[in-house]
Amino acid sequence: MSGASVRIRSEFVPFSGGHEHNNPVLPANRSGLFYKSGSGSNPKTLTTDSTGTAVVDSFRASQIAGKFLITAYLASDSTMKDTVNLNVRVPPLFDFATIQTNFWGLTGNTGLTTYSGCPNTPIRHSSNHWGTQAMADALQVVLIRFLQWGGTQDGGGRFLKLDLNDMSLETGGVFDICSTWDLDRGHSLHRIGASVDIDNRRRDFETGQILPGGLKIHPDSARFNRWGEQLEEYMNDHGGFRCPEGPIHFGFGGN
Amino acid sequence: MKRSIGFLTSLCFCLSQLSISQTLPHFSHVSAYARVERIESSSMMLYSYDVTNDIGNTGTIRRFLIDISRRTSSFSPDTIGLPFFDSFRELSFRLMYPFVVSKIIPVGFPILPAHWDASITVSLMARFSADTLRPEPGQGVGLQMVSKWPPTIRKFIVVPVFDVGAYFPSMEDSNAVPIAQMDSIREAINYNGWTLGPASIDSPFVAINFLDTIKSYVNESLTLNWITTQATANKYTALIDSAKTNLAATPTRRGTAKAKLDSVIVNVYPDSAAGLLTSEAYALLRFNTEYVLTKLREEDSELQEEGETKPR
Repeated sequence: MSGASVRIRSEFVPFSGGHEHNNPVLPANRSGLFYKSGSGSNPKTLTTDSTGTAVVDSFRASQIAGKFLITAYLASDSTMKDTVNLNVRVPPLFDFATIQTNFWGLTGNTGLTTYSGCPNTPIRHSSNHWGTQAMADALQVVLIRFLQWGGTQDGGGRFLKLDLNDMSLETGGVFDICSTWDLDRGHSLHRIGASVDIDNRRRDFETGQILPGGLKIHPDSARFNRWGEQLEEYMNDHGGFRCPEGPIHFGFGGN
Repeated sequence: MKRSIGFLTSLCFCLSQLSISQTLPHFSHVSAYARVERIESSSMMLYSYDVTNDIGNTGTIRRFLIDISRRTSSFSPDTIGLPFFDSFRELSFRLMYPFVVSKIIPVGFPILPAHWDASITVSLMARFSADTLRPEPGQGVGLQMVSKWPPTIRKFIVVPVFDVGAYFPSMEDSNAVPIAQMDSIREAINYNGWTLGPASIDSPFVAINFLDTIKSYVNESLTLNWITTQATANKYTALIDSAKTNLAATPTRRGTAKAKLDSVIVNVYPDSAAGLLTSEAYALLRFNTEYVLTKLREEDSELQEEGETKPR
């Protein structure tokens, strides 16, 4: 059938991609855009050609990773349709939480957010420690070196344990810390498994006790104290560089 | 003894797009003089660096890095016997080494000044850094590392104290400063120059090719003002060329080739004392010539042994 009006749309499959929230729902304009003749929209209305075919020029995937349902239907009769699943994701990431160890702690997966943009909001990304294999390998060595350095005279003579907060979600993409599908608020980075947040505290390895001072000269300051600077040295040795996002954020050659 | 590699253009570009209330650190000049000695007990090379933050700079030195990368075609070095300041630094090295095992010349850090740390990095550098008492403008520090390999010309990088948290607005509420731009500034404030570090020597060893390498050191040393006169450079070039010619001729002239190389070693002492060679040029010429002579003598011994065991 030629000359028929056909619509194609992309919808996010709720609770996929590590997003344990669906209120509000992901808006259509953030669920991917179909392009035809230079303009993009979702849904997109097309007209079938003489062979009865309607083709988009391109599709720009959502910045939110997860499962999407692509539906094409007749504009005049939405029951005349077909669907296809689409997985939007970054290349496979490694779940840092699967490493069983007492050398570091993992946080940020339960309770309430501390982010000033949405304080005390329930955390709805419980699987939050995914990263590239390269970052995971590097982080383990950095954390062990820092722990050992803490035990030296320079490090204060107490073996130090750090807590790792958000990395990336399992399939990557936007990590909307406030669970509101914001693309650039909160964690504007943390998209490709190359980011890690470190809690601003040091813990005694043996007792687990939080030691005074953290990693910054003052909790409200952005500046590192000597412990923070030493951590930065070890991160730098492994190609991890500090970025002013969140309390303490390091990126490993990407975001 | 360094050549500045400027990033001023990119620095100016980035600054024009940022409103930073604080002045960025700026190194107009950092001196890094290198000396190399052989440790008699182990035959390893001790590399010593005198790093000085010039009085006209506005930054404090946080890190000093030296390129220790190696080509894949080079000899696979081992780490046996490398000395470390303490067991923690050795552990740190051993934890890092698997990440770069095929890409660096391993180095040990036998002595560290108070409050200084050292490590190898995945950027294929040897890294020295201080957590307190960092060299302010006008101050300096002496640093050392050990390698089994003779010297070559290597890049060094001096990184100032630069806390991104103090210079850039938080990206939490908006992606205010693109990461690439921030990285560009982080790069632009570093000071880059040339010094000595352990060489990556191709395997299998070919003496004639290695003599070309030593010749290139003469040329580059002249450019870097490590050899202070053209006449001095010409003298060493002539000796090395002569050694090369003799080596390429019949085996009976290997002795002459070795004698020419011995002349290089004999000459570097007085030329260094006379100020015609800096410590860098002295080390490049002496230890690389000694290296090739050692290899030639090893080859001679092997040839002799083969001759003796050959059935008549």
